[in-house]
Amino acid sequence: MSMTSTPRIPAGDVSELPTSAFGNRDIMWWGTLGFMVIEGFTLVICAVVHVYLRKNFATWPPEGTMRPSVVVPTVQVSLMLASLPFMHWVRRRAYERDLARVRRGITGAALLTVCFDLLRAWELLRSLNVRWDANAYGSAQWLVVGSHGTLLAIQSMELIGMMAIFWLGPVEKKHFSDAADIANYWAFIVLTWVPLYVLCFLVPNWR
Amino acid sequence: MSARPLLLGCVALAGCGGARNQSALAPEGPVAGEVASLWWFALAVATAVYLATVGALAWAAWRARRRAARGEATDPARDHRRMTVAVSVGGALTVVILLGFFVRDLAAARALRIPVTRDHVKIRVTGHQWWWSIEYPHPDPSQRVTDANELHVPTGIPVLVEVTSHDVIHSLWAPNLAGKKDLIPRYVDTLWFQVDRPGVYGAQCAEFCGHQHAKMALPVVAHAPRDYAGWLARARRPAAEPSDSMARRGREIFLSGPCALCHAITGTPAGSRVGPELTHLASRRTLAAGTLPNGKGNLAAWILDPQRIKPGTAMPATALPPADLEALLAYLGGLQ
Amino acid sequence: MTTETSAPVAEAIGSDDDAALAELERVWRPRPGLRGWLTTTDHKAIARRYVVTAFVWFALAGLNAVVMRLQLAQPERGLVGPDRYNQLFTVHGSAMMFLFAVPVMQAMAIYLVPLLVGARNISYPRLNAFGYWMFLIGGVLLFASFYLNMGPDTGWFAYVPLSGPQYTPGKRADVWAQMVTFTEIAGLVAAVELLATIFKTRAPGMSLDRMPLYVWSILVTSLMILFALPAVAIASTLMLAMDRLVATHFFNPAEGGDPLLWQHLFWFFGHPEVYIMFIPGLGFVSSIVETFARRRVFGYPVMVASLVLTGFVAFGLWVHHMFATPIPQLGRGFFTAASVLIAIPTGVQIFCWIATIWSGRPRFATAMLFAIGFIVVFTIGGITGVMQASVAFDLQVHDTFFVVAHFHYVILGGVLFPLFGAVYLWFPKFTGRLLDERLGRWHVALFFIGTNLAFFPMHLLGLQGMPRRIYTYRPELGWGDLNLLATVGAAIIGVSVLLFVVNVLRSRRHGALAGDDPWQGSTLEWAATSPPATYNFRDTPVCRSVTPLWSGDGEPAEALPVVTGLATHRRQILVTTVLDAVPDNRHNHPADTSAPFWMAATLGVTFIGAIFTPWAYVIGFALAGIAFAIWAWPRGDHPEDAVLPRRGES
Repeated sequence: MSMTSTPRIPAGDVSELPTSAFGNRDIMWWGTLGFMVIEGFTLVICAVVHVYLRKNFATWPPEGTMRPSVVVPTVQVSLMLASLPFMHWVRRRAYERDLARVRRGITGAALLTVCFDLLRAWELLRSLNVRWDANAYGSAQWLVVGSHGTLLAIQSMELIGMMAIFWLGPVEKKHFSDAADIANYWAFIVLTWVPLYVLCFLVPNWR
Repeated sequence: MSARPLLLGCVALAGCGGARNQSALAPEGPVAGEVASLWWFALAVATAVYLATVGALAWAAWRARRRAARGEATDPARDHRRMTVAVSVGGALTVVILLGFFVRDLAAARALRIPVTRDHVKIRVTGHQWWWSIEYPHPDPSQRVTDANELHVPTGIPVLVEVTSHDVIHSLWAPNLAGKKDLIPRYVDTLWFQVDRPGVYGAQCAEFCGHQHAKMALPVVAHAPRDYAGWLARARRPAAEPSDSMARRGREIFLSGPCALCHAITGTPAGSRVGPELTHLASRRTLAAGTLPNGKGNLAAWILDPQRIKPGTAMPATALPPADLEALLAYLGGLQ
Repeated sequence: MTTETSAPVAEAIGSDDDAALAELERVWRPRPGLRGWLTTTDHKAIARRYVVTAFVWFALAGLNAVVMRLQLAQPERGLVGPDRYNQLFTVHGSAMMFLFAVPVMQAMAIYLVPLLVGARNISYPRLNAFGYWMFLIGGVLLFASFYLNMGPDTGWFAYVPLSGPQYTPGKRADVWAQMVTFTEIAGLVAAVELLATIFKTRAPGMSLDRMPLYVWSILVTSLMILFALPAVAIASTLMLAMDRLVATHFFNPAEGGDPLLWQHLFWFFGHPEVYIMFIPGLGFVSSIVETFARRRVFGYPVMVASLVLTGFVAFGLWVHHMFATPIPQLGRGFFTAASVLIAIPTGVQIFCWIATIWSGRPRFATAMLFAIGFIVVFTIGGITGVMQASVAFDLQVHDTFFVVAHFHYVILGGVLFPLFGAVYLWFPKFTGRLLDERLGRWHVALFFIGTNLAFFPMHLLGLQGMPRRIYTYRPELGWGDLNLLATVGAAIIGVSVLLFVVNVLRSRRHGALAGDDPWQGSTLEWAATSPPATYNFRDTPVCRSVTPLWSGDGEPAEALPVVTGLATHRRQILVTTVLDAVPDNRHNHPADTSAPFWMAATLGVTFIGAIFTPWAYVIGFALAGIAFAIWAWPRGDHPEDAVLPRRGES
């Protein structure tokens, strides 16, 4: 049993290393990645549930249930895709730590995401044309669109909070890494929605 | 290690332990027999593998201790070579043994395929919370039998049981005869077995289905084929007419009281399928899905207060003055 | 490089070290009293309470088992009725699986991993605190409802339609579903932070192929958690809860729903779940065997490959829980093959440990006895598991006491034995004192005897026709004697656990002083003090091999290289590269805060409210927004962080 610890030898010094970083050098980036994996897989499972339940029905949607409308959902998904270059621009400005531009970019993103929330509410309440409690088809539709919508809502909350920080301060170096992370998360939200849009709004409309 | 003697002791106990008429170790037909032989094979292989592994562990510990105690010099390179060989051989043996088991299992699976080409009997079982509804189908509707809580089968030919559920998931398991099948609402599956000799075999619900899952048994009565034909003929007859005035009064009480709301008796206006069919109640060995032996006293207790015997059951207590109860029992006792 | 000769114990290198050390201590010190308890973000403080809380749930669930065993000891005993019995086994299983087995393994990892990789704290300290509070709320929810006689009663896997709105009225199944929500969030959060710690904060020089096997086991487990837990979270928090609360039809056959869908989703989670419990146990055994055989575990690459392969294949087995359902024949064959295959990597690991012992100089301290007990007990469970891979055999023993025997053997053997061993190994690190070895021997002996006596007879009971989850059985079935034997075994297990608790409580105060490195261990945690300082290591250790504290095999190294330069005026950790752990940047951690507690409190209100009304989600979302603002708003404590309005400097 040893009561004393092993003697130490100095073998280097890290005091010159930077105290903030971007991309996968930043430890916070990995947390965002972890949550993207979890949430992405959650959406995959919701989609699997959707596809699984279809086997219990002769037609999809079932007899007596209206097909979903594609107008607003197509507007929504187009807007989302169109927003990707903008968020890419925000990410680049964040890497440069350009306070003024990032501040404007985050504000724009916050406004955009609130638009997406409103459109999502419309998609659920109007475009789907079915209630969650009508039958298993309705439940599955609400599950997929609603789960993704929950992620949208959480993203909105984060963006509004980030907007507040950027306007009301104090802004710290790490907030630029956070802004870059949220631009990545934005891409995740949009890209996961595209196949789900097809599954929920286009597939039930195929003859 | 205390596991070894225990294993041997328990194997010895196995023969005199549980009742032989509800045990997978006492197969009474080819399906359960095939599984039992697979089990003994697996047990033998498993025991050998286990003894070898634990033996190797014990030997390794003993040998290392001896080496340290004697202060023997070690040769790390040689040790490393020997360990590499040993672990590789162990790994390879593991793969071979597992492959052997997999192949043996494939053979068992092939032997257990449903024999649809041969002569067979088809019966339909529907699970309810906490009883079994049994139908013996026939192309002619007048020849169909609906029964409950006792399964009758002939020996010597395959019995195909189509299973489904009326409410929650149940499972039908007669260990002497075959493995189990789950009874799932909106799904129909087929369990098959064949019984070698006549007798009464125990079956029980094997998927947790609520309060009285523990008391959802199903006696399986196997008849020689000629006896089976006789049983089926009796089962097809409508309910026996009451033999005396007391029994007639009993029938009246049954039809005008709450009983007829849930129970059917063919040949009478009572046709509700909410609860078990009672047409041949008196010929059954047990009551309430294997919970009580059938008899006048038990039947009386059941009618008066089912909740005391099987708390949570759907059947409510039926308050009857003693004379009415006697009459009802007289009628039900005549339903052979 | 020169070695400082004047200070034999302290890690003194420079001349103004005392001031720097004092500053470091002050910066990392938790606040005093209750405030400290609510605001601490020290991974060790959180892990300690996490482990203790998990053991409390373990003891309560164990009490349930004792009552169940008393009821089943003889036929037709009237100790408890069916309603109470159904709650007993549901809460026993749910608590053991959701509130004990996985959380305690994660909690041990939360304590050990930062130390084993040479870091000052876990990657996300506030998230860590938040995870604990969520876990605590989940456990209180389950046990409070049970003791109020409104506990869940449809089994730990809550099959539908039984647990659906039609057949389980009231709120019991909703309580179960939301308990799952809390524990799943806690589990996912712990997995994310452990992954970030393992990937990005390893000691300089600790490339992936020098990581301790235990850390590899946590890496594999955490990745598995990311993919397994969402399945049950969706099934219970979303689908089952919605069927019950707002009349969705996911599982309602009358409207196109499907009871089998529940089983697929649950077991897609449920099978990996048991490996999530078991793989950290494999990591513990490696640490114990290495330390007490005084030899590096043989076959490092093969051991790592086995862990990874087990983690992967575990996701391909789930249908073996559904062999009695109407699934296609061909599908069954695939799952049989996978269920047989998974035995191979674990078998190889066992052979490697045997080889390690063979070539080492073993000391049979209590921890080592538990590791050996693991091999002896778990192997029985592993073998019966492979037997059940056969569809034909499984159809006889599925849902019987044979299965109960199997999974208790693998859980007691594969989770409890390694866990107890790990506590005996690391208790001196946690507390500075050693657990009593004599009491330890009694503990392991009684636990071993009790386990075998309680569960071996159950194999026979299952084959003799006894199904699971029955509150009583008729005398003529002949199951009484073996059940009585099993009950005696359960009592012995209870006594052994009691001895363990006594040992822990006594040794905390009166145990022999351990010093930093009582076992002459091989890995970095033994270079910290016992117990470690709040900041773990004053200077970050450098890792030169799989056994950084050993020079040759089993011999302690003469000196430990360290890197200096992390700040002492604020909480700072070193971030290194993923593959080779080259120092890359420094990350500043926030000060202690009660924000995680408030966030958990708002989510507690949300999800418990959701038992009763869907509007709880709306209100909860608003409350969570406020808690999030408290969490995320910058304090501005350190002017050096602030950004100038122009294009900033780095």
